[in-house]
Amino acid sequence: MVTSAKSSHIGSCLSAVEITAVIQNLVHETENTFIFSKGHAAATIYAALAGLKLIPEEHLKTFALDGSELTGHVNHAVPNISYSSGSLGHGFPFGVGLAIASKHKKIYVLISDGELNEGTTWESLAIAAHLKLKNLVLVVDANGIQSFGKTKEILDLEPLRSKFESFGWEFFEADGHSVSALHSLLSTKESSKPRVIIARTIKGKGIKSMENQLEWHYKSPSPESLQRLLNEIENNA
Amino acid sequence: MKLKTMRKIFIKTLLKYSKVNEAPYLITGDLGYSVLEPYQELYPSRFINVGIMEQSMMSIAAGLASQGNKVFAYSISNFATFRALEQLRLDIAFHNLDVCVVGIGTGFQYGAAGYSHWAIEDLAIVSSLEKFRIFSPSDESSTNKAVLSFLQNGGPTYLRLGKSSLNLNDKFDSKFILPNVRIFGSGNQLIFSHGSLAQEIIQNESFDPHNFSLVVFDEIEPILNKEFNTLIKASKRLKVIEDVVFSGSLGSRVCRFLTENNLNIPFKWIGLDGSKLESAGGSENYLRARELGFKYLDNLFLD
Repeated sequence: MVTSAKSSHIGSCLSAVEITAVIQNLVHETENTFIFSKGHAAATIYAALAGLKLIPEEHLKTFALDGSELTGHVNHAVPNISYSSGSLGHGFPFGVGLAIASKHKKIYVLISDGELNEGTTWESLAIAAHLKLKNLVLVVDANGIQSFGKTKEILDLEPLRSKFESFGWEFFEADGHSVSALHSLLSTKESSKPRVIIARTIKGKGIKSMENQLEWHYKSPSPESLQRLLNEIENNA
Repeated sequence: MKLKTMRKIFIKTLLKYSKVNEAPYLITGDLGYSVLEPYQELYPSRFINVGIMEQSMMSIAAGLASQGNKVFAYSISNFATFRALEQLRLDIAFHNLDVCVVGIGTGFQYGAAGYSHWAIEDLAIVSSLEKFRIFSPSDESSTNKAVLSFLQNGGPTYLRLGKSSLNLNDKFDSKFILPNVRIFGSGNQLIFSHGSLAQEIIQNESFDPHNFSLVVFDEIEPILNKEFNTLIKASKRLKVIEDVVFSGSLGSRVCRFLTENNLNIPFKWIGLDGSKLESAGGSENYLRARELGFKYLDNLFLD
């Protein structure tokens, strides 16, 4: 997808694969909703939808090409996507509104760790805890790299646990590439508080030359290298 | 005449509507003291004060609306529009959701408060979001109608609330040119205006309905219809007066209409140019001291 579209963000797409797969499976054929706020990793959610046959796999070939609804950032014109993201800091408060309106539904919101820089993220943390939105689950794809470098160097927000807990959230941390760990935390019984899971991930996970490399926030794999990279992922799986 | 605020009319309309219908959500960015309390008391589960966070408030409003709810999101005009502009654009307009952004204070209503509170560019900025319907009601009946129109039709909506006396129709009869555009008088000198300014014009002693026709745009319509063509052709001159900057204003829509329809009429456009914004002053004082101008209403009725 990203090779044919010559699009960016393959690193972010790969860090969110397991998180996306687990949440999309959890909401599948339920009333629950998944808000994919880190919209630049759109290819991942589109692929997950195709995997569940919610959109035709054939459509993935149109990703980010002229006239396609599968735009480079997440688009609600695509079936089973309820919210268009791309500008960071919007999906989380949108999910807060959803969680207020539909208390019987579980609302999962995925944000990036760069998105923790946004003021609206902290506003949303405060109001969600104040309103005791226990049906709200926030997952942070913490791959440690944002647009211009390492999150630790650009705006260090660690330690996250004390921050989230002081805001009144139930805090968990997990290996963001462990399907079983994520599934366990995401599907356990809700408490009286909203829940956050810091999913520790690796940007570019699965391809050694991409892992933890900032440049893969921007570059797309060349057609010549594609098969080799796909084989590498296949062999590591 | 003592003017009362449209926000009181707004909440009265909501309370009346909610007696017989499901109460819509009303969320506020910690504003509305002495106005919103009756709604908060009667419908506590439909009223949310999210605190002072206008950007998140608009995203939350969109999230609420995405579940099939009608939502009013209430703040001072600039905070509701400029502060949360991207939320209006991406979350509300692009998703085409039933959110009515309620902006309090139009033009120089908060005159003494200074520039931060003057809503003189809000129309410009929201006009760029083509999916938004924009209401700039001039009196009690049009405020009531705008609120009910949103409750019936939904869609991204901006409601700018200023001051109001009772009803323009208490002064003169009118007829509708468009569902939310009225004409007062039968004169061949046309004046187009909207919002609280229309109140001041119609109450000015120089407004003679035999010489002038005041067209009041309670909704800032994106497209003017053929009746305007006939009306303008039958008139001697046209003036547009509004307490906002030129960009995206009613006047800019009228200019487009005149040009596209090859209408040639002596035309004066009275609005704000964005200068001299540093000193305080109540609405009337401020308008009189500027290009909109010294004795601006007196001049309005001269050639």
